[in-house]
Order: sequence, then C-alpha cells, then structure tokens
Amino acid sequence: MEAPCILVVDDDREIARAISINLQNEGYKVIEAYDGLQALEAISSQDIHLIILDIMMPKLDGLSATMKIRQEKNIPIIILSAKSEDSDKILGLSMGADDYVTKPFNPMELMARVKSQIRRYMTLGDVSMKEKNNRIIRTGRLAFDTETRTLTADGHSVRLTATETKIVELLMKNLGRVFPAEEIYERVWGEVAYSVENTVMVHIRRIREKIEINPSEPEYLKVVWGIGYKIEKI
Amino acid sequence: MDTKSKKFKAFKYWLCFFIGLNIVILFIIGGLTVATNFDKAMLYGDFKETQSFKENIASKFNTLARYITDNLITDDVDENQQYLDLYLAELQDEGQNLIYYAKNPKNQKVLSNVEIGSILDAKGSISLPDGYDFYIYYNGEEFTGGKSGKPLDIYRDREYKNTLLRPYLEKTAGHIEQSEYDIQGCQILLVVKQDIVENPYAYSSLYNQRRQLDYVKWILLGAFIVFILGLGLLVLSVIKRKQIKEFEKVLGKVLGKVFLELKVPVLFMGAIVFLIMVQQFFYMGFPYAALSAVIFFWFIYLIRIDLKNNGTHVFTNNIVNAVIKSYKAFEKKRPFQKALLMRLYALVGSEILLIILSLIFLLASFAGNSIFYFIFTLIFIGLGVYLFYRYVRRYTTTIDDIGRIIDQTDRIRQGDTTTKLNLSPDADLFVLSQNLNTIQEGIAEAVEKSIRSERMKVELITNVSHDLKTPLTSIISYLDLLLKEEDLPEHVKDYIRILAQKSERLKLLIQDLFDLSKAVSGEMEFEKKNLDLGKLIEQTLADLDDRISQSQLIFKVSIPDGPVPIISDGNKLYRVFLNLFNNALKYSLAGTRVYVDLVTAGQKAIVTIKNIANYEMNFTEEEIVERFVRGDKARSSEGSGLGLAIAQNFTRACGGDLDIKIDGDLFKVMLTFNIEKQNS
Repeated sequence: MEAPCILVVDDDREIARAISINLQNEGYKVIEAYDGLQALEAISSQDIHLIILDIMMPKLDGLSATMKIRQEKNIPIIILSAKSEDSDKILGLSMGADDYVTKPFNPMELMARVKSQIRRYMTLGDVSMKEKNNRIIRTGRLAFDTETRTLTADGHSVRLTATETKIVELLMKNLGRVFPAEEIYERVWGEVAYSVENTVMVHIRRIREKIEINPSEPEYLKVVWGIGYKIEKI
Repeated sequence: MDTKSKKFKAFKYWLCFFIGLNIVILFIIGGLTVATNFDKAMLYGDFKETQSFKENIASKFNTLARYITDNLITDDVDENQQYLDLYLAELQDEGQNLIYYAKNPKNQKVLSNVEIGSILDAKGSISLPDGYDFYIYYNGEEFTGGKSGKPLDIYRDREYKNTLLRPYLEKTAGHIEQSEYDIQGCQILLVVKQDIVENPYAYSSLYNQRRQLDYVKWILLGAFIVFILGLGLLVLSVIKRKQIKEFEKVLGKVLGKVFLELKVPVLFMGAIVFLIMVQQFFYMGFPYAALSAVIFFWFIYLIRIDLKNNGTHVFTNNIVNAVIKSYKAFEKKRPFQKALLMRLYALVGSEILLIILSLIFLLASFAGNSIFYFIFTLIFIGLGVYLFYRYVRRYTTTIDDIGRIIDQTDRIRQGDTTTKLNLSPDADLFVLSQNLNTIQEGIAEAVEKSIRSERMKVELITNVSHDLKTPLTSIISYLDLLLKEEDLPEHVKDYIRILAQKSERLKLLIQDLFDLSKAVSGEMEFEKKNLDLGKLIEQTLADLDDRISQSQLIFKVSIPDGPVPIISDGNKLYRVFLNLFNNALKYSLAGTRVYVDLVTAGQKAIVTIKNIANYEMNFTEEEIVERFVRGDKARSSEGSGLGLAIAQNFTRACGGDLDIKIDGDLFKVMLTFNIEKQNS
C-alpha cells in the first residue's frame, strides 16, 4: 500500500517545512500549501489522507477552509493554531476539524496525533462493521471490549495491569460520569477508602501514560478538580 | 445689522402704528360728530350761504329791530343802553361792507349809515349800489331779499329759522304775538358788499368770517391730508406688523419690569375712567370724548401686551418679590452656611417689623375709627404670612435637594457616571450639585480611560503572545529536528538540549503572561461549579506526588474529614494550588517541612501554606505578587515568575482571596473562600 499523503497548510513556510520533515521521517508523503486557496486546490487535484491546517492565513483562513473541505470530503483535519483559548478549540472542532493542536507544539505529540488520525481514517470503515451486541464501548480513539476486557487505542491493544483494567472498565462503562477517588477505591479494591487520593492518582497517571497521546494534557482520562475522575465521552 | 438699530427700526414702525391709529380713531370719531351738523356751504365757498353769515346778518337785523322799537335787552335801562351802544358799534365797525337802514314810523326813529334815497325808493323797491350783491329787507309786512341779483326766499330757508330771525319770521307769518319782536310797520334793510374787504379802522366781523371760510377750506384739506397720512401709516404698520410685534415684545419687557403695585392703581384709575366715559359719553364735549376713547384704547392695548408677554409674571413681579429677589442676589455671594443663617435672621427680623407695623396700624385704626388704616394692618399681616410661606417653601426645596444629592452620591458610589443631577440654578445647593456633576464627569473620564488602557493592554498582550508563539513554534520544531540528528558532536547536542529547555520555558512564560493578563483584565471565562476544596487540594498534591517524594521536603497536610464545599472553577483553582505547591517545592529550604492546612471558620474556608524560604526574602508582600509589573529583585531561573501573580488573580476571580505574609524566612500564603451551604 502506498504511503498516506498529508497536506500541510501554514503561511509560515519554515513551520510547514519542519512539519514536513518530521512527517517524511515518519514515512509519509507530504504536500505543502501556504494559504487556504492553495490548500483547496491541492485537495481537489491530489489524493489526500490528512490535512494539517493553520487558522490565521492570508486569502482564506483555516476555519473557512475547513468548512469548504467538509462540504465535499471526509478527510481528517488537524487544526494547528496559536489561538489557545478553549473557545477557539471548541469553534475549530465544531467547524468540522478532528483535532486541535496549539502552537507552539511538541513535534512528537503532533506526530502521534497524525498517526492516530490516519489509523482511524484508514481502518474505521471495517472496524465499525464488526461491532456487534454493543459489547464494544467506544469513545474517540479508545475502544473497550466488555467481554474480553481489553482496551484498544487507535486499534492497537493497550497492555493494562489488573487494577488498571478494573479502573478503565468502571470509567468506560460509565462514560462521562465523575467518580470520586473514594468510590473508585471502594469499587476496585473492595476496601473502605481512607486517604486514597494518592493511590488512585498513581494508577490514573499510569493509565494515562498508556492511552493518552500527551499524558500531561489528557484528552480522555481527566481529573475533575475538587470532585473526581472520569473518561470523557467523545 | 446690530440689535440696537433693529430695535430702533421696530420702534419707528411701532410709532407709525401708534400715530396712524390715533389719527384714524380721532378722525373717525371726530368725523362722525362733525358730520351731524356740518355746514355744507362752507365746502362750496359761498360765504353768503354759510350759517355763520346768516347768523351774523340775523344778529345785525335783531340789533336794528330792537333799537328802533326800543326793546330792552335787559331790564336795567343803563345797561341796556350799554348793550345797544356795543351792538351799534359792531354795526358801524363793518364799515363799507354793510349798509343798514332802519326806520320806525311810530316813533320816527331812524338808524342808517347811508343816504337811503338812492337805494330804497318810496314804493319800497330796492336798487343795490355798485359792488353790493346781497340784501335783506323788511318792509313792515314781510321779508324780501336778494343775492347776486336773484331773489332770496327767506321764509323757505330753514337755516334762517335757526337764527335770531326766527321770532320775526314767525311773527310776520302771523303766529305767536310777542310785543318785543313786534316790528310791524318798521322798515329794516341790510345790504352787504359783494367782495367783503377789511375795515382798516375797526374789526369787521363779516370780513373775519369770510376770511375764516378760507381757512376752513385749508383746514379741511389739511385734515384730509393728515387723515390719509394716518391711514397710510396704519397700512404701513400692518405690512410691517412683524417688526411691530418685535417692538411690542420690547415694550412688554419694559412693562414687565414695572411692579404690580404700580399697575394696580393705574388699572383702577383706568376702570374709573372707563365707567365715567360710558356714563358721560354723550354729555362730554367731542374732543374730550374722542381723547378719552383714544386713551382708553391705548390703555387696553398696554394691558394686552403686558399680559401676553409676561403672563403670570405680571402678578409675581411685585415689590415684595423684588425685595426677596434682591435679597437672594445678596445672599448668593455669601457662603452656604452663612447664607442659611442670614436668611433665618432676615425672616425673623422682617416678621418682627411687620408685626410691629400691623399693631401700629391696628391701633391707629381703632383710634381713628378708620377702615383705611385697618387695610394696612391686613396688608402687613398678609405680607408676614407670605414671607413665612416663602421661607418654608425654600427650606423644603433645600431639604429635597439634600435628599437628591444623597441619592446622587449613592449612584456615583455604585458607579453610575451618566445620570446627572440637575438642580435649579438658584437652589441653595446648586454649587454643590455642579461640583458633584464635575466630579462624576471626572470619574467617568477616568474610568473610560482606564478601561480603554486596560483593553489596549490585553489586546497588546494577546497579539504579542500570538506573535511570539509563531517564531517559537519554528524554534521548537527545528530544535527537535536538530535533537534527532545523530552524528553531531556531544557538546553541540548539549547546547541544543539547553536551547530546547529554554524554549520550553519561553513557551510556559508566554502562556502564563497571556493567562495573567486575561485574568487581570477580567476577560477570562470561568466555569463555576460545586466542588470540594479538600479534595481539590488532595488531588493537586497527588498530581505532584512524584516531585514531592523526590524533594527533600516533608509536606504536612491537614484537611478536615468532611467535604468543604465551595463554588468555584476547579481548573483555575488547580492552577492556583499547583503554582503555590510548585513555589513551595522550588523555594523551600531542603529538609524543612511545608505545612498545608485547611480549616473552616464559620462561613469561611481558609487554606494556609507555610514554608521556610531557601533564600533571603528581601521584598515585601506586595512586591512579590507585582513582579509582573515591577522590576524583579529575586528573579528565578526557572518558571515564569508569574506564578504568584496568577495564583492571586485567579483566586480573586474565582471568588476567593489570597494573602501573603513574610515573617523572616517564613513564607505564608493564606487563601480564603466562602463555604457554600449544602442543599442536601
């Protein structure tokens, strides 16, 4: 199979080039564009599998470009922007982007996100067909098989310890619900909880390291400060 | 055109109106009066047809008749003779203008100034001498006459009947018998010269009458011209009525300045004049009637202008109000407290004066048994009550104004910078209200300025941080690429690692700067939820567990068993505690303890974090959080240095408070939050 083709769009040519080099090192085919119109042109003429798109660009900005692209194609779009407000992220994602990375970014993280998106885009079709009996709980990149009690991230299975599996099972079965540390402890360990915050937190951090792309900015396994923990329903 | 000449022009037109209207009114009234008994002959210029001529002739005839018949004018014989002499002298004074002849056959008395034979023959037919064209003759039976060669029917002429001839005419017609007018059988002839000339030796009444006739013509012509002129002026004033209105306004202003006390007597007099006029109009002589009518008209006119221009001001502009007004002007120059005191004194003083005056007049009215003095008593009592009323009214308005000013200060305190306080310019507290308004404007301006500068600052920082992020992205990306290069010398790799570290720190700094500026300006959005403060602290500590266990510090944490519910933004508070714990980790002396205590006191939840600093804290509590603004005395090599500033601003924005105490090497942070009552 031919290497996936990625379109990198940024009016700052140096940044576009740095991203290209990183992507090429990973073995992807890369096309660069320097404004929204060039991006649209490239998409119509080439077979593109993923787009990395800056927001603030001349001629046609990233958000408008995203909307235009979404009218025709279902290619994954990662927005790359210096705008780091929550409201900016929400706006970008609701316009049809699949991921939002703020500048300045860690190149490793960007690569991980690219891989995740590509995997999902390439394999999503047949995976969803296989799902039966609601035995698989899915949220974003994560999928938890309730029968085999295994977790997959982007289709790759994640190795978890027994305790970690129990925590993941609890949180995956109750997506979006916030569990205080005490409740997690009592249900997973089966003992009366007393000053267990640290214990639970240690496990949470370990799980994050296995499932999150950037464990210090978790997307799925989140702390709700002053209340508890949850896995986000995406 | 300047206003003075404009006013003058208006006055000129008004004068036209005034004069024109006067003339027209006078002429209309006068014309009507004259027209009823106007002698038309005067217009034709035929002197011998005029009433005055006829009266003169009749009087002369009467004189002759009385003389020859010895009829007395008065009972006194001597006096009678005097009169007769006088009348005869008048006859003679006419000179050659008049030929007269009278003869009574009974007493043979004859009076004449000519040889009658040439004029009157024995048969009684008359032949006028040259230059004479008028005669009137009584032949003992009846009157005949002639004028310009034509016979004159004296009996038919009604005008002769209105003269002294009337008894003679009626006598001869055989009516009432009256001995004194009995001239039967007498011959009396009067002949008048065609062109009456002046008698150089004496006063000729005929000559003077004729001359008057000439004058009358000129006078009539003149009067007509004046009337037309008046009418013209009136028409002009109608055309220029705008300017007249203008002047009427000026007139109104002048009238407005006149006190009511002056107007009332004038009005009273006017009313009396009007009453008299109505009653006496027909008994008055024409000139007086016309004059009073004109005066009355202008009187009404002035009243109308006064009322129209000044309205109720007509009634309020009286001496009492004027005195109060001038007192107010006097008072205005004094400071507020003095003015108020002075006003009280003035009131008391004038009240006492009025009471004394009214008592004096009351006594006088008893003593003199006169209602006149009593009226003065009433006036003084009324004045006293009025002054008191004015004082009370003023006092209550001032109290109202004080209330309004208090409300206004309250509004200003609440930050209302637009609602202005509008007191009337002569209010006691007007200056205060103006000052308040000025202060309010100043505040509004200052607030607007600071908002603008704050917004500019935030915008600047946002833009700058965006602009910083783009090159930083390149730096980080290429540093990452460099780090992956394998065949670089080890020391170069070391340099690159340092660069990578510093670029990471720069990234952190930019983000902190951005967050802080947003928190300070209040632009940051907060998502406030019910949360447990104790749990939040535990979670944060658990999050930092690795660093805490690696450090040589001991964290002594004391958190109550039960939940400490507060309403706040968990993510932001996490940042706060993260920063504070990070600071403690960074700046604590190795081997010391860090105390984290959460206690509840009433409705407050208080968190204290105490640690022993590993450096000399040569700055004050205020300075440490304001490093962002001021120059730093102890800038650290790691972190942004904004941690405390962010912590404090976030805490405040989350509804709490953050205080810092420095006591020697003891660094203490105290956070206070409001506890939310649990509903369950």
